[in-house]
Amino acid sequence: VPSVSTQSRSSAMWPFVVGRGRTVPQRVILAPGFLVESECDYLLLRATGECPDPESVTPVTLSRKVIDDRIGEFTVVFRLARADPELVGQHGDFLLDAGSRPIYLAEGMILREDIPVSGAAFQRAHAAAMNAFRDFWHADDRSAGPRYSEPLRLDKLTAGEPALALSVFPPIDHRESAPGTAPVPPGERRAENRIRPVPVTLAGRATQEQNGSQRESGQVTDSGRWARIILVLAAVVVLLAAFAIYKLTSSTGSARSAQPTQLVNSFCSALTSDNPASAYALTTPAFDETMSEPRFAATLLNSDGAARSCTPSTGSSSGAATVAITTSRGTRTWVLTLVTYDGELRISRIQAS
Amino acid sequence: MSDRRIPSFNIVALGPPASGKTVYIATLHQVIGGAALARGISFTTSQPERSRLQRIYDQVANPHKTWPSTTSVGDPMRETLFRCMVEWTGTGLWRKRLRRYAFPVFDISYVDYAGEWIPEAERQDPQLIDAFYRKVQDAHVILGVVDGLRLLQYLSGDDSARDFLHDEIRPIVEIMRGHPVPSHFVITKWDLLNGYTPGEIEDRLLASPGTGFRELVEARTAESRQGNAAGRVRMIPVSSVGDFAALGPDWEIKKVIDRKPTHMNVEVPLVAAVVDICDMAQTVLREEERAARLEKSQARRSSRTETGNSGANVTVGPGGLTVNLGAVMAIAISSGLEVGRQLGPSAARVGRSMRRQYRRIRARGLQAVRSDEAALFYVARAFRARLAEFEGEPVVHPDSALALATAGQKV
Repeated sequence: VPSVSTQSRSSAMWPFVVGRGRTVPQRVILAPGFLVESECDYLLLRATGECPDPESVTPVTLSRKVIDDRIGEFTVVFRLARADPELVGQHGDFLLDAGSRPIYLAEGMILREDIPVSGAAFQRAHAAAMNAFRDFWHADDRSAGPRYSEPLRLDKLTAGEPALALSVFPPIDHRESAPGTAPVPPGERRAENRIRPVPVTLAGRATQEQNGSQRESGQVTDSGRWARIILVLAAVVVLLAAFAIYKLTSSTGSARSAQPTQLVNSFCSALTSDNPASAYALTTPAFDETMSEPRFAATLLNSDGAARSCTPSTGSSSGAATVAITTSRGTRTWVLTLVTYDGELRISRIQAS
Repeated sequence: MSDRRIPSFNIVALGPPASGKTVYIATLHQVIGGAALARGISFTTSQPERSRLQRIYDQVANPHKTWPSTTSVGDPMRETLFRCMVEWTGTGLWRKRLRRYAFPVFDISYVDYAGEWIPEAERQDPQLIDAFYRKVQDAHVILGVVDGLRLLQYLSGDDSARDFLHDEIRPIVEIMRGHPVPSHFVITKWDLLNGYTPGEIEDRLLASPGTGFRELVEARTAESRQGNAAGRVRMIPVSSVGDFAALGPDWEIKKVIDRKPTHMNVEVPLVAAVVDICDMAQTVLREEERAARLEKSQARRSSRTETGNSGANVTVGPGGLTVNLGAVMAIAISSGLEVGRQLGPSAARVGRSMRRQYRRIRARGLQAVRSDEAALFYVARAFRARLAEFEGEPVVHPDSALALATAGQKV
C-alpha cells in the first residue's frame, strides 16, 4: 500500500474511479492511499460532481483543481462515461443498477502537479479503473471501502505524445479559511436572478418579493421615509375616495339585497340555473356549520342538477319567505328564515313546510 | 404585483438512493405547473429550474430513453422554489375593459439531494452535509420518500430487501422524530404495489420492530390530542408514471412503449404539507395571541394608556389596517370561515370584510379573486377540497390502522 511518505509527489499519477454498484450506492471505488487514509476520499466525489450530463454533451476530458487543508493541492483529470455492460459479462447498451437506472462512472487520474496528460497515460488509468470497477461490481458489497490505487509512472510511457485537451472546471477550495466555501447550487451559479428562497416561519419572518431587497422596518432612509409618507397620504386620499364610491354604490346594492324578495329571487335563480353553490352562499355561516354544500344541494334538488322550477313568495314578515321547488320527484315547499348578517340579508334556516 | 411579503414554506423530502425523489419533483413540476388543483392556480419556478425539471421529465416520459441517472453525491443539494399564483383574465369592477389579475399567494421551497447523504453521511463531504442538515432544521414539513420497488421486495420476502427497514425506513423516522414538524410518508412507484393497500403497509410498518415508526405515530397522535398538532402522519401513495412502468424479470422496471405516463396523487404531499403547516401555525398563533392579550391586560392594569394595536396579526395605524397575511393564511387554510374570530375581537371589521370575500369566492369562484386575501381564500378552498378528496378516496384509506389511531382529529 503506497503512503504519502513513500510516493513521489512530483512524477506520479494515481488512477481513480467513482461509481455505483448494482445495489451499492455511489462511492469512491479506487483512490490513492493518501486520500483514503486521511478519510478525504469524499473530495473525489465533490470534484467529479456538478458535471454536465454525459449523454447530452460531446465526451470531453475534464480537469479540476482541489485545495484542501489536510491534503494540499491536487488536480483531478477525468471523464464521465457509461459503464460498459460487457465489462461485467452483461449485454446491452447500459449497465443498470437495482433501480433500473443507468450507471455512469467518473474515471481518471489524480496529479500532484500541473503536468500535461497524454492519451496513453489516461488509457493506463482507465485499465486500472475498469479492473477495480469489475471487482467492485461482482462483490456488490456495501461495507467494502475504496481500493488503494498504485501510482502510474510517467517514465514508463511513450515520450513525445501530444497532451490531452482538457476542459477546466472551477477549482474546489476546501480549506477552512477559504472564502465562500459553502457550495453554491449550479442553478444559482448559472442564473443570478433566479428566485432565492429565504426560510421563514409563518408568524414572524417572511420572504421578500423576488429580486426585492430585505429591509427591516426601522432602517429606512430619509428619502424612503418621505416617499413612504407621501404614499401613505396618497393611499388615505384614495381610500377616502374609494370609501365614498363604495358607500354611494353599496347603499343602492345593500338596499337591493336587503329586500327579501330580491334575496329569494336570487336563491331561486341559482337553483334553477344549475348553480346551488350560489344559493348556498346566501346562507349564514351558522347555517353552513349545520349543513354542507353537497348536502344542501342534495336536499333541495333531490340529486337533480338543477330545479325544474322555483317559485318564490315572500310573506308579510321580512323575516321569512317560502319557495316552491319542483324537481323530478315533484314539488316541495320550503320555508326560509331570513336574518340580517354583516349588514346583509341572509338565510339562516330552511324548513320543509 | 404588490410589494407585500409572501409566506414561504420549506419542504425537505428524505429518501434513500433510487427512491424516486428527483423524478417525483420533476413530475410535481409538470402536474402543478398547470391548473391541477383548480382553475387559475399555478405554480411557477425560475427559468433554469423549469428547463432542468422539464429535461428530467422528458427523459422519464420518453419510452426510448433510460430512466434518469442518479443525483450525484458530489452535487450540492438543489433547492427549487415554486411560487403559487392565482391568475385569471376578466373585466374590471368599474370598467368593462379586459384585464389580467395575478396574485402571488405563497412560496414553496423543495430540496432535492443525493439519497446517499443520509445512510452514508460519514462518507460524504461535510460541507455539503452540514448545509443539508441546516436545511432539514429549517424545514416546515418533512416528507419521507419510501421506494415502492424496495417496499414490494420487502413485502414479497425477497432476500435483497432483508435490510429494507433498517436501511431505508429507520433513518428517515429518526430524523422525523427529532423534528416536531408535520411529516408524511410518500410511497413512490405505487403502481408496482398492485394488490396492497396503504392500510396493509401501515400495519406492517407499525408492527415492524426497531424502526421507530410506531413510536413516531403514537407520539404525533398524543401531541395532537394535547393541542400541539404537528399534524397526523399520512401515508400517501403516489405514482409519477402510472402503468407506463412495468415490472420485468429480476425486478427490472421497464418502460411500456405503447403507453403514456399517467400520474396519481402527485400533488397530494404538497397539499397535505401546506394544510398541516397552516394547522400548526394556527396553533402557534393562538398561543401568541393568548400571550399578547394577557400581556396587554396586565399592562392596562398598570397604565390606562391605549396602544392602538388590535392584536398580533392586525395593526391599526395611520395607514389603515395592516393584516399579517402569513397569519391570515394559516387561519384561512386551517379554519375556513373562522378568520375574523381567530384574528381577535377588535379586528371585527377586518373579519367581516374577509368573511364577505370568502363568501364571494364560494359563490363566484375565480371571478371573485380581485385581491391578495381573495386569492388566499381561493387557494385555501382548493387545497382543502383536494385533501378531502384524497382522504375520502375509499381505495386509499379503507382499513388504515393509522387512520383509526388518529380518528377524530382535525385534518
